[in-house]
Amino acid sequence: MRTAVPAVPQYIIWRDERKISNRNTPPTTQTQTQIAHKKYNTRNMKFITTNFVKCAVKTCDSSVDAFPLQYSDCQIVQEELEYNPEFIVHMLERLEWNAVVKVARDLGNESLPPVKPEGLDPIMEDDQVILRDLHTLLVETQIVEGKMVCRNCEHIYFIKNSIPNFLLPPHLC
Amino acid sequence: MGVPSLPSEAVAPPKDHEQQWVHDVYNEIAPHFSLTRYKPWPIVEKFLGEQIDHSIGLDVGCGNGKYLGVNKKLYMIGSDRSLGLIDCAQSNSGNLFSLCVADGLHLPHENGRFDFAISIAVIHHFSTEERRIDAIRHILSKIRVGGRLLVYCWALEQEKSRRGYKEGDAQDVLVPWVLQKKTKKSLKGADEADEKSEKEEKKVEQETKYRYYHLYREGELIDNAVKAGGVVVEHGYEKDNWWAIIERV
Repeated sequence: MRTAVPAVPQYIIWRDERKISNRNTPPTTQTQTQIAHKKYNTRNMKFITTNFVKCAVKTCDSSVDAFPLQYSDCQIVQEELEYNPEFIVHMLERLEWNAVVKVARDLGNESLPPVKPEGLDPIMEDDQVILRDLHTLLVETQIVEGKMVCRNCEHIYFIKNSIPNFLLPPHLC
Repeated sequence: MGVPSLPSEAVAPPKDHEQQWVHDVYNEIAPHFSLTRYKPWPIVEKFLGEQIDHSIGLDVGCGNGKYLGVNKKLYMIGSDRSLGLIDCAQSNSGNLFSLCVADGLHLPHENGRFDFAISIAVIHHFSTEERRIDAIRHILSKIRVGGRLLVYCWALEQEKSRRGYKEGDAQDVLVPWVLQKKTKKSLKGADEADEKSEKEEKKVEQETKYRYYHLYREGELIDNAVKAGGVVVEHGYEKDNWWAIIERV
């Protein structure tokens, strides 16, 4: 079954005005997140990665609060990257949508639909728009610096130079 | 011929031993080490090629990320204990890899979420059998039931190799890595005496670092895999390494 998806793009997070100027949706909480306009040579932590990482502390294994992590003080960049609709369609099947919505909210975007869009077809024009936006969100949106906090044990992990670091202090491992 | 290996007698707790003889060393030799690691091993390439398109997987101990781009139809997260090596992977990535710094015994992933995993030349760096088995068990816990994990470990039986380890030798060893530190290039027109002294300086700058390895004897990896609760579906020997494909049941 196909979920009804509005034709208006819903998945945009801070479309960088240098990239697309007419569809810029400003973040609702500007305080938490800043858009970096600095040029970085290498980036790595794409939004999609946030869907596959959780707290590394053993005692948080059984807690539903250990995933997704809570993202704060994040510096975000968006850059144009190769668009692969097939990848987006298949990844969408494997994503925990609730976590996508939660992390997007952490980063200041409240506009994602609560239900995962399904059955998107890269041939359909309307679906193309949504897939493009998902590409912008999942792949082109990258976290350069920031904090990841476990909602269960409150341990703070850091993202530096776009690399998330999950090493634990001795008393936690 | 080269610098000999040393026997490794762990006196410190395993974690400290690994910090000193594995983590610290990799961070130091990372850029040099990375230059020597670019060719994928055939069995690993085959394993990655056999995964169903758009599967999601883990590369635990991904080093410079040489396996993360082998099959472009897969989505993989590469992790390594060494920030130095992850920095190398990031430089090699072309912004395509998903990377993180993590401990192989404390992976930051949900249990059962992934279709497959690889851990290539990593588990032999854990300094007790218990930790090696735990590492396999931990990686298996991250993949779904029926998912497969490919593990490679350095073999004790490698008589023909440069190192020449063989059956009956000590299995816990410190293996030398000769690090060539770059010295400043001499200015053009520098006289001969200067060049000579620079050569001498270069020799001094050659530094040997030791990494801890547990060399696996025949059958040991399979034994570890079974103790970790996995089922070995295929195994073999390739280029001085024992390998096993372990299924989560």
